[in-house]
Amino acid sequence: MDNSINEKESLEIIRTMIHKAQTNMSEGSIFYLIWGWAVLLAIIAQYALLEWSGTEYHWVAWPVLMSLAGIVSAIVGRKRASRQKYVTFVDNTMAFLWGGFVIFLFAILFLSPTIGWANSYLLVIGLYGLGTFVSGGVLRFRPLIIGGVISLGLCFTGILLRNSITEFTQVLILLAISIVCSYLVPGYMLRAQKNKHAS
Amino acid sequence: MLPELDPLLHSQLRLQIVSLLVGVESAEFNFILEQTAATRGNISVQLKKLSEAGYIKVSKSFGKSYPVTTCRITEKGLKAFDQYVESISSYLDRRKD
Repeated sequence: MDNSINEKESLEIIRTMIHKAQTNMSEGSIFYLIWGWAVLLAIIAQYALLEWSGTEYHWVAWPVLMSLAGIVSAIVGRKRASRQKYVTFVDNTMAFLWGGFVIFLFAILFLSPTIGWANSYLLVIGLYGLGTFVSGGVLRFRPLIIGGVISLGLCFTGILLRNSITEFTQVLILLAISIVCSYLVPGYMLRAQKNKHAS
Repeated sequence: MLPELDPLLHSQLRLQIVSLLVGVESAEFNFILEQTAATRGNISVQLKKLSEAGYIKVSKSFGKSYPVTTCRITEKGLKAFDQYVESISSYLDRRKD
């Protein structure tokens, strides 16, 4: 069947159909929470081991928790992708953004024996800021933009004051503030939006 | 003189499909099916027509245990859609005058 239509009906069809597929941005809250909590727990573990155990393996929680978060994210992502029957431009932009984020994160990690862990962590704070700042702009979600600005500010402050940073635990505290402001708080706010829409 | 409307787009289901694809990067056949409420057979026929005209690109892959047909609009399809919207708008503007 190939129904002919008049001009007014044409415009109505275009108006109705063009916005049918939209990115449900609150669905993405789970990833901010998974990574936010994984990073925060790793920071707490490293801080505790540095302060109270004196072991040289104070970093041990990082590979464990990051691998775990990676596996959980991959499972959740696959489930979501199989449920969603379309891909929006926003979905695509976010995939490229976070893909680039991971590649640059590995670059920092490879560079860390040369530039030192404290400097590396400061760059990671900047990277968290960049990721959430851009994704906040793409999703038009202000808490993510604010979180991104805070992390970028922390990165700059840390770099400017790097000669005054005497303890590695001070960088860990900056990293903890960054992850709470740019991942956990916006993540919970996104989730609250999702619950609000569901009720 | 009134602008001529693209006959390929000036049909209810094909316009629905193209308008849907303009708003996304890509969409599965089942999503088009849900949103247009047309029959599978009719959608398949219209997709073929649009694909042959180069307005859309249809690709097939394999999902968990079933084949998945994915459609995306091409540059040519986008241009044709823009031209169609322009023609419709100027036609309606002239009718107002």
